[in-house]
This record gives sequence, C-alpha cells and structure tokens, in this order.
Amino acid sequence: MPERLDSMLASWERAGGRGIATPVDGLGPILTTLAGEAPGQTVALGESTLLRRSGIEDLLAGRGMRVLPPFRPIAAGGPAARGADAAHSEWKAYVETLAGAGIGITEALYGIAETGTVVLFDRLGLGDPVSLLPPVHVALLQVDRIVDRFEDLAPVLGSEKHVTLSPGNSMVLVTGPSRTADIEQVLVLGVHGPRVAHLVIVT
Amino acid sequence: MRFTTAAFASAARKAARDPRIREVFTRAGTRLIENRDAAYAEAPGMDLARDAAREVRQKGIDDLQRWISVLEDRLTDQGAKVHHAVTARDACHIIAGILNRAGIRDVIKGKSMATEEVGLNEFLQSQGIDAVETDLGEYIVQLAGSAPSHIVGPAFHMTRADVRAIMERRLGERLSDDPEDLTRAARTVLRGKFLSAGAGITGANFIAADTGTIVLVENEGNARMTATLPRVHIVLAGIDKVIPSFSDIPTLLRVLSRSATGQGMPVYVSFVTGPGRGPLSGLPPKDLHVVLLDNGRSRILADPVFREVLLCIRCGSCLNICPVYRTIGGHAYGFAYQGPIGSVLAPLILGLESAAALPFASSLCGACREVCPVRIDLPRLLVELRSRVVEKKSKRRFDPAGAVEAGLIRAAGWLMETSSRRGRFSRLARAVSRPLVRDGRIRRLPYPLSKWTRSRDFPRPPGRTFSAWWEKRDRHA
Repeated sequence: MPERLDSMLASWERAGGRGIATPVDGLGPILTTLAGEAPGQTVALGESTLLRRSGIEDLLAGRGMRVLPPFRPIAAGGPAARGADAAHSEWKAYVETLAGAGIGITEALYGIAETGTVVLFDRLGLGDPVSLLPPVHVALLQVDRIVDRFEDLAPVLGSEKHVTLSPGNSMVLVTGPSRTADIEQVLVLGVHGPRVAHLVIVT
Repeated sequence: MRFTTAAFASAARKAARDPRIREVFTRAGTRLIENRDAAYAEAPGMDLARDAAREVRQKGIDDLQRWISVLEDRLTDQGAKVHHAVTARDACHIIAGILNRAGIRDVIKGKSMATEEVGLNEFLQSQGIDAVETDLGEYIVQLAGSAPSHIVGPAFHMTRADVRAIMERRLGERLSDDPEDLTRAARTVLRGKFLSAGAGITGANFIAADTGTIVLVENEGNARMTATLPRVHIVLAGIDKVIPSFSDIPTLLRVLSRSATGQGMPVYVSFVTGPGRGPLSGLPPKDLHVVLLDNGRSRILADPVFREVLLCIRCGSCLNICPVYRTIGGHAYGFAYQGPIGSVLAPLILGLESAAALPFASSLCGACREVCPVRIDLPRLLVELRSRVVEKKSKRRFDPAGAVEAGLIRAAGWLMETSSRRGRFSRLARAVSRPLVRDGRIRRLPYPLSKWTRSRDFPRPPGRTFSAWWEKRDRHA
C-alpha cells in the first residue's frame, strides 16, 4: 500500500533517519552510492536475501571497496568441531573488523509505519552488531512487510511458533539513529550506535 | 548506606536557595513536558492508551507471584540462571559471586536504577571489580564521582563546562565544551570497554513471563552493546518489572517514550529471549543471569494502599512536571529515585524513619497524577505516608511538640465545623492579627506557628465567612 510506504518514510525521517524507496533493480546502485559516502572504509553486510539479489558484493568489489561478509556459522557442526577457542577468536576478530567498518547494511524483518520503526532479527543471536557498530547503518525493507502499528505485529512475534523469540535469537526495534541529550539537553547523534540511519524500502 | 534521605529537609532548603539549580531543572522539566504533551497530542487515543497501560500493569501486580513463577520456569528452560535477591545486599553478593566465579574483573553497565538502589558499583569496586557506566550521562556522573540527578538525564545538573572539566581531568586529553566533541570522546573510550569487557550488567524495563523476554529500552545503543557483546549478561530487575505476557509490551511501549521524552518509540528496543549466541552461531552460548530484586517490594505489594506504586514504569514525567523537583533538583532527595515517585518509594523502601520528610515536600498540586501514564494517584499515596509518619511519631515516647501540634489541628477542625464558629473565629483573628499585617499579608507568627510562616505567608483574615460576604455582595449588585 503506497500510504504505508509514505507514512513509513515520513515517520523514519521524523525520527532523524534518511529514507528512500526503490524497485529492486535500483538497489545495487543506491547501496553503492551510500557505501561511497565513506570512501576507503569497509562495508559490512548482514545476512539478507535482498543483498544477495542486489549483487552488492560484486558491485563493491568492482569499485575496489572492501567488504566484510556476514559472520557465518561453522560449516560442519558446532563449536566442538572446531574447538570453542577457535570459534571465539574468529568472533573477536570479526567484531574488531566490524568496529572499524564505515557502514553496515542489514535487512529488516518488518517495518512499523506509525513510528518509523524497523524490526531487526538476528537468527544467530548476536544482537545484530552490523546495524550497531559502524557509524552508518542502512536498513533494507521490503514494502509488503510494513505494518501500521506494533500492536499488529506483537501477536505474530510473541506466538510459540514464531522463531524470533526462540531462545538463542535476538530481536531489536530500531527507530532512527542513536541519540542523546544528556549534556545540557543538546541533541547529539551517534553516541554509541550509528550517527546516520538510512532506510531503503524495496518496492 | 550512602543514601541521604534523612538530611532531605536541609538539603532541600539549601537547593531551593540556589538559582542555578532552579534554572536547570525548570528548563529541563519544562522542555520534557512540552515534548510529552506534543507526543500525546499527535497520537490518537492516548487517554485510552493510559487506561490500557494501567490495566496491563495492574494485571501483573495482582498476580505477581504467579507470573514470577512462570517466568522462572521459562528462563530456566531456556538455559538462563535465575537468582532471587531478597535485600539490596543479597543482590550485590549474588552479582559479585557470578563475576568472581567467572574470574571477571572488568564489567560494563547499561543504565539501571535498580543497580543504583542496591549500591552495586560501590560494592563491586570494594571487591576489586571495575564497573564502567556506558550511558553517556551515567558515565559522566561516574567520572565526576557524584550521583544522577534525573531518571532520564543523569547529568542534567552539570553544564557543558562542568562536563568538559571532568572529562579533561579524568581522560587526560584536551577537549572543547561542545557537546558533540565531548560525546565523541566518551564514545571512543567506551567503545574500547564494550569490546573488551568480560560481562555486561543491565536492568530491564519489562520482563515478559510467558516468553521469558527481557525488554531493554534506550536511545544511545549502549544497552544493546552491554547486553550482546560480552560473553556474560547479568540482568538486575525489581520483581515489579515482571509482566504477564509479551502481548502486553506494545501497550506499555505506546506510553513509555511519549511520557519520558516525547518520542513515539525509543530508538532501540531490545528483546532478549534466553542466552544469546544461539546454536546457529557456532559459538558457545552466552551466560545469562537474571537477578530478581525484592528489597521491600513484596511488603509494598501486600499493602492494599501502597501496592499501587508498583505500577510505575519509570518514565520520569512526574519529576518533570513537579514544581518541587523543578526547584530543588534531584540530588536533594538523596535516593536513587527522585521527585514524586521517589518521595513515595524512599519511605517504603528505606523505612519511614529515614525518609520521613519526603512525603511532606509537596503542595499536593496533583500535576504528577495528571501526567502519570499509568495513572498512579501519587498525591493520595503522599498523604497516606504523611499519616503513617505522624501515627508512628505519636506512638513514640512523650512528644510535647507533637502533642501541641495534634491539639492545634483538633482545635482547627472544631473551629471549621460550623459556619458560625468560622465566622466568629475569623472576626477574632482579624482583630487580633492587625499588628502583624504588612501589605495585606502576615509574614511572621510567633512560635510554634513560626514554623509555618518561615516559608509561607498568611493572607489577612477576612473577618467573615464567604457566605456572609456573598450575601452582602448580592444585595448591592
């Protein structure tokens, strides 16, 4: 519904974010442009079907930009297969690199138009650090996953069957960039989380 | 302990004389209430939303033991460890125990009033464990070695020059007093802590019993990092944070940020369901510990009048609108919770003896009740507490001042009972008080009435009742 799209973008912008809508073939070029705003910096990617479809990894590599792919679970079996220590060191190295990245791109599960909120789900239960550590975050959202209010989503998310609340997963609602007014009530963006929050709605 | 509620009367008097405190907290409170009002006006149905929020909280409080039991089963099934802390001291020992057993000496903290309430940071420090606050305001206040002065903005009492001075001294680098510059410096230091800490300690805004989901609300991103980056996550939450169901969460979120800061939604709402780093991550799962804090809450729950205070969702609007809080600021209250809600919680948690003065520091204007998102009748609770304080005093040893006061109140009650007594007393008072009147007001009365006039004026007694005046006036109209 076009009203939901407009309302989603308007609410996101009211919360201090920057938003844009595009058909899926425009996604690659838009993401490449956004990545280019932090030249020389690594682009971190989350697990995302939209990202895979956009061919962004190749596009970025073609521009000579470094890409940090999603933290992938060990191919064969759990920690015992590689040793807990090895897995842990790999994780620490990943987080260090991620902390130095210029931009993180992840795909949202849902959008909430009333408040300009995206629902991020991390099925590895890592807390979606790609959306949190780099100073710029891009959230991708399919237009048919926008609902009006959080009340509309909660029954789905809270039900026994829905995987978002299974133990070991993590879910976070994000509304705009990180902010504080702790010093003399002056608004400052990007305290710990991203300073710039982009929303790209794919129609 | 380090709470100074017993010194409230003198602390409040001193603060009331400081124009800077009044300026800062009036500006902060006014701004936050304006934002709150704007957010309430722009969203439809907020009156119903407050009723719904109250209902949801009431449902939780009415059967709290059951929900706690459901929650404990759920958390245990998920692989989290549940601990029950009866007292503040218990909570400190439990958390220190978890850290000691894991050999962890460096800890990061998300903002948590419960950890302030139990004095966790000081206790951990005495155990050689370094706990660094990561919320910007809390971090600044920690560097300064002082206490938060507002639930939402812990460092509101500091100017940017104050913040710069503290940060320059503690971080050893030159900084400007531009809030952006100061924030950036803090971000860099704290980033290092986020990436190296062995454990993260947070509070919880709500904990849903049916799904075992811990809800963390914030704007900065530090609670997300504290909860997800270190391997160990410890949650300290009062038992009153437990709500029956995940489906209750939207109802509470609808009013929480709108009341606290005027935002439709907080920037980040994290849902932690069981230990993170699940099986698909290939990593060993995190250690998740949930410490449920009583510290007097069951006693409050059992009280038919005061249990209402457990509905509080810690938004801070009652502070923002309170004329007393705006005048004296947060530090004067000398407790983890301030303003109207603090004036009720302090005597209930710390005991009537230590916090007797707080319930009296109110004109009972009712503004707090007007803005409370769960409609707690704070003025009623304050009056009830006053009554309990006086009752307790009267049961003590021989108290001549108390006896005189009680006698005066009884006499006043007798005088006000009929209009003829009121009229005769007013005529007498007008005649007798003539020498004390200056510019139509009585500014000073002899002891013991001087206790009243030390900070209040009496108007000149009118000499007759309102009805007598009205009758006369009507005839001439």
